[in-house]
Parts: sequence; C-alpha cells; structure tokens
Amino acid sequence: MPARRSWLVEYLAEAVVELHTTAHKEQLGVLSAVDKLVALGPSLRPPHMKSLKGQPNLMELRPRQGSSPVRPIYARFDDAFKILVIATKNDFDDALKTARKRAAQYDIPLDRS
Amino acid sequence: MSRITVGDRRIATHGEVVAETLNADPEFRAEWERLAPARKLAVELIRYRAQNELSQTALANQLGVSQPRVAKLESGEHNPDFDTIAHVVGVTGIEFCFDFVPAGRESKLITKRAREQGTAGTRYKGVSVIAAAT
Repeated sequence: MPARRSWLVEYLAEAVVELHTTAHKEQLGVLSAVDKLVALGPSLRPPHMKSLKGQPNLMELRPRQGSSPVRPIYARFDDAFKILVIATKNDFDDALKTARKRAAQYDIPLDRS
Repeated sequence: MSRITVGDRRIATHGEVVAETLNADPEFRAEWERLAPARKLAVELIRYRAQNELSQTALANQLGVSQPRVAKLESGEHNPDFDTIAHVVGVTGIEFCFDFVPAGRESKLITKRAREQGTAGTRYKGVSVIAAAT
C-alpha cells in the first residue's frame, strides 16, 4: 500500500492571528514546519517536532530545527492535526495553558490521540 | 489581523493560511515559492529517515556528510544544487523530479499524478517549478 501523501492540518483562528503577528522570517519557518506536518503527519520526527512532557496529546513544532523562538503547539484529533497556539519560547508556559483552554473551547479532546 | 473563518468553527486549513499569507505579501510569496524545491527535498529526507528509523547523524553517515549538513537539507530553507540532489538519490534511492515549465503552460514531461503530488513554485524566476518525489 502506498504511503499516505498528506494529512489534514488546521489552525484555530486565534493561532492564525498569532502567526501573522510574528516576523516574516518566523512566518516562513512556521509555514515550512507545518508543511512537513502536512506531508508526514505522525511520522514527523524530532528535531522537527517534540511531544510535550506531561502534556497528553500536545506537541510542538520546532521551526528552523529549533533555532526559531516560535513554537506552534498542536494536537492530533481523530485523523487530523490542529494548531492551537503559535507560542514563543518566552511565553511557553502561558501558551500551554492557552492551548488547553482553546482545545476545550473547540471540543478538541487532549486525553486521547 | 486574519479574517479567516470557516463557518462558525473558526478554523482554517494549512492551505488556506498559506494562501492568505502569500496574498498579503508579494515578497513573502516570492520567497515561499523560490524555496519549493528545498521544502520538497526536506520532506522526502525526513520521510526516508522515518521509514528507515534513522537519526540525522545516521543519515549523515550514509550520505558521507556532517549532521549539520543533513539538518540544513531538512530545514527546507536552502535550495539544493544538482550535485546534492544526485548524491541523495544515489545513496537513498529516493526518486525526485524537478520540472521547469514556462509559466502558464502545462508540463508535457511529467505525469498528472506527479503534478498532483508535487509542490509547484509558480512565478519562480518567471517559470513554474514542480518538484515531485516517490
């Protein structure tokens, strides 16, 4: 059976707003990182992503091999992925809380994959 | 401020977000499209590593290059030269197709399937570039 060629990746509207407030260089890095998620889905490996310790079903993308300060936080939901927050390293703890809050608002369960 | 909404669920696909971002900034569009071949190579290298359970260092050893070199290729931010593509193909067995077509003309050289799977970089130096791999 041929390998799947693409996965559905969606952004919450708040995440799109956050993306567009970052510098162009970072937007390029984020969109490129999400492109990899679209192409590879759960096969995407570190250093391009990281599962967040102690945060069930929450993962981060690491644009530009982690050299970008921007960290999109995402979750797998059924057969798709949802970008919940476009975080930065500096506000990461707050962003995690925001991610969990938004997941609840959008009925995205984080306790299963 | 993004105006993206999808019904009342307020979500947008990656394709919609890319389109909105590109439409808002021609300079950004040019850079995004210029790097389409780089992104294609990056994805296929990461896919190859995943399928073969290789670290970047292990792939670097296969290719006879440094781990930072693999990291750079996987970044998708630097277009590969032909020597690099040929070397990657020779070692990994990944098949790439880069098709350069005058803008607005449909390719006569590659299949419809390859076009659909490919990453098009329209308006890149006045031509359409389709990068496909298998």
